[in-house]
Amino acid sequence: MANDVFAKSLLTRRQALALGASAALAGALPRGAFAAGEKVTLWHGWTGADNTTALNGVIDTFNKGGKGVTVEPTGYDWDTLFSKWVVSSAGGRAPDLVLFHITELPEFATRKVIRPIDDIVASSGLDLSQVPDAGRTGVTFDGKVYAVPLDVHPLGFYYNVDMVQEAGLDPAKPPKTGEEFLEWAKKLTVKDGSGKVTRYGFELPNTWATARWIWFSLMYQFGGTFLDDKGLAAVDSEASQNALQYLVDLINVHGVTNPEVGGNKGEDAFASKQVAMKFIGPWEVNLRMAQKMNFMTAQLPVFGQKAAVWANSHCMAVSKQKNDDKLAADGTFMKWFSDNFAAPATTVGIIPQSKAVRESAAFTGTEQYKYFKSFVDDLPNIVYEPLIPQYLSVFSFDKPTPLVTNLQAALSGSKPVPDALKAMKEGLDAQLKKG
Amino acid sequence: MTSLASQPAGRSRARRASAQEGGAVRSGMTLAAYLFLSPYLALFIAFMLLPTLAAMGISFMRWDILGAPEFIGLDNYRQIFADPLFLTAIRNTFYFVFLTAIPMVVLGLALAMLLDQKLKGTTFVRTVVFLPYVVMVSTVGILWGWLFDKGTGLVNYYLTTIGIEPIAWLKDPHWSMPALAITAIWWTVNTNMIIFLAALQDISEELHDAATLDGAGPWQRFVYITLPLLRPAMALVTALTIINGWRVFGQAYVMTQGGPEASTFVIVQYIYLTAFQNFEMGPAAAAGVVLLLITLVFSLAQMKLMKAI
Repeated sequence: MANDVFAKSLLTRRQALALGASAALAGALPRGAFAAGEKVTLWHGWTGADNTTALNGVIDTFNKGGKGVTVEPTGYDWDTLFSKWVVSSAGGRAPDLVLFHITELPEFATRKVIRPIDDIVASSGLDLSQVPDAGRTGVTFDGKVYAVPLDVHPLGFYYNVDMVQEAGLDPAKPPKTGEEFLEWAKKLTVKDGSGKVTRYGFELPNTWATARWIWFSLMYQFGGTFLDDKGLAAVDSEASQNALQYLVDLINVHGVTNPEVGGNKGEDAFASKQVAMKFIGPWEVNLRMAQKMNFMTAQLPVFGQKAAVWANSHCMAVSKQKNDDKLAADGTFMKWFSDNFAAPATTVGIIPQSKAVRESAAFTGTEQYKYFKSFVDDLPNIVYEPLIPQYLSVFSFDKPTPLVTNLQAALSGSKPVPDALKAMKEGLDAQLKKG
Repeated sequence: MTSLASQPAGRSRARRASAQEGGAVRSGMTLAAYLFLSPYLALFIAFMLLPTLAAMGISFMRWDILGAPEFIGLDNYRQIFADPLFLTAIRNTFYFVFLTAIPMVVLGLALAMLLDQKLKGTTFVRTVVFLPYVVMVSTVGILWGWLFDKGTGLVNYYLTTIGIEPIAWLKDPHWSMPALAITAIWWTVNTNMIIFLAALQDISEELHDAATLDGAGPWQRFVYITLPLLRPAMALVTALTIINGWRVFGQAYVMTQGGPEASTFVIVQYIYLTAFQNFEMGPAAAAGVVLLLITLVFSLAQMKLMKAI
């Protein structure tokens, strides 16, 4: 009989269920109900094959969950995503939801391509109290919450266990200080009979963001900050100079690393055994496992006076639209995605922001967790890059910005550290004053 | 007399009539020509001419895409010429053009001459030489990124077999642009080859036969027959190579992102960065106009050369 009822009506069983669900939610959500099968578009930058598959899988589960909302994800590389998004916003065709880094949030909030989500947080039941303070601060702009912080991805320490053992070191006791690290780096650097280095102890490539993240971490470890209290660059401070000089000395004085090894797209100095240790985010865990490398991770050693580690975080925000018709649907997905973030976090290789998710068996019970754990342990020490509206132009790592060009010049030896940092400060200040 | 007098008048009437007919035919043909051209013209106007004109207009505006444009005169031009990064981009792009232009023309001609021979397997080799053309720039960039790697790349492997120390092609500011030039030559020399090949096949065999009978050797035939008859193709290829050189972007963006130390930062990347990452459409459009003027000079030079030939 039930079948007959559905057959005679114009609704399928799924639509009826969806309508029921949306009707039930209607009272609690802003702008009331949404139509059954409401479509929500989501743009993201997780474009690796594994990431896309993982994300699409999770979204499929949501779409089939009978919540009356269908999410349509589209992946672009980050640069394309941002330019496409701003242009689409100008043309009134912006996606509903966008996933990006919290450091980029002030820029998008200033450009008014995203809207505050305090109302959605309240109506959808999103529990931001589970997110650490730094994450909540990161998504707050002008006193309003603009996004849901999803994960955190700090820099971590990867080392090749076989090489460590061969060098007579104990892989269970990774270096915790700068001195211990240098000792490992020296012992892990291998030379052939003619004195030519065949393997470097440490990877410090000149051509990608890694060097910047490492220097940034060390700058804070040495007691420095990237910006001064006037909001201008403080990169020429003594702490910052000491941090960069330490890295340059690893190249020129100690010979344990070479900025020409690794870093570019497609190059994998760690897997091709050109280096024994590297500092990179948790997103390489799955890659190393797939390569069946015998590796381990640890917290970043403390080179300066205190622990500090570069980190960033992905967040999900709502694009500014002509009307707010889809807010309820947006909120439904955002809450569900945040609550069920363990699966995408594991596959992408990032640490959930939400304490509940981070400590859930769905995350800690994975085979990846033994590598993720050191990143989780380092969470109290994370430092985000400054949350400024000029973030994309200042911190882009694939453009010859004052930051990138001068850092490369210092590492390659074409400029002494103080000169490079002085030039960097001048260039950065010009960018920062642009507003 | 009348008949004599009327004769020219009658002829002129006939001429007028035939001229009118001719005019009608000609105007019919002109219309047909425009009709045949119209699909391309429509697309050209919509996607090239109008955006170019719009960019010229935008180059005098302050505009961040989201807000309303505001007229600011020549400020954008002043801004880009005061920006050391733009001047670096011009210098780098010129260096790229310098590195690629001569090899692209000489190699294109050499390959065409080689593949113009009626030998076994020529068609296969032609296909192989032309194949890189259909590969996407991102693929080319990633592929050559591997080949140029200092530790594991094939290029350095072969260099070391002849006793040359490995070069950090994409990480040494002195070698990064030559590396991009080599990539560009491998990727696009085949288009020059095709143009030369077509031109070579247009040269009548009889000219070579006659010269051979007169005792001309292969070098003399090349210098006195092939080269002079290839002049129009040469002018076209040279101009196209130079213009495409000024417009280089993909390889630099994929392989080095303009680095290291801004050594491969080119004009189009400056435009892209300024427009779509900093959202400063005015200075980006101004840089685009400067690039247009540079390429226009080479186009005009080529047209003048073609006319002279």
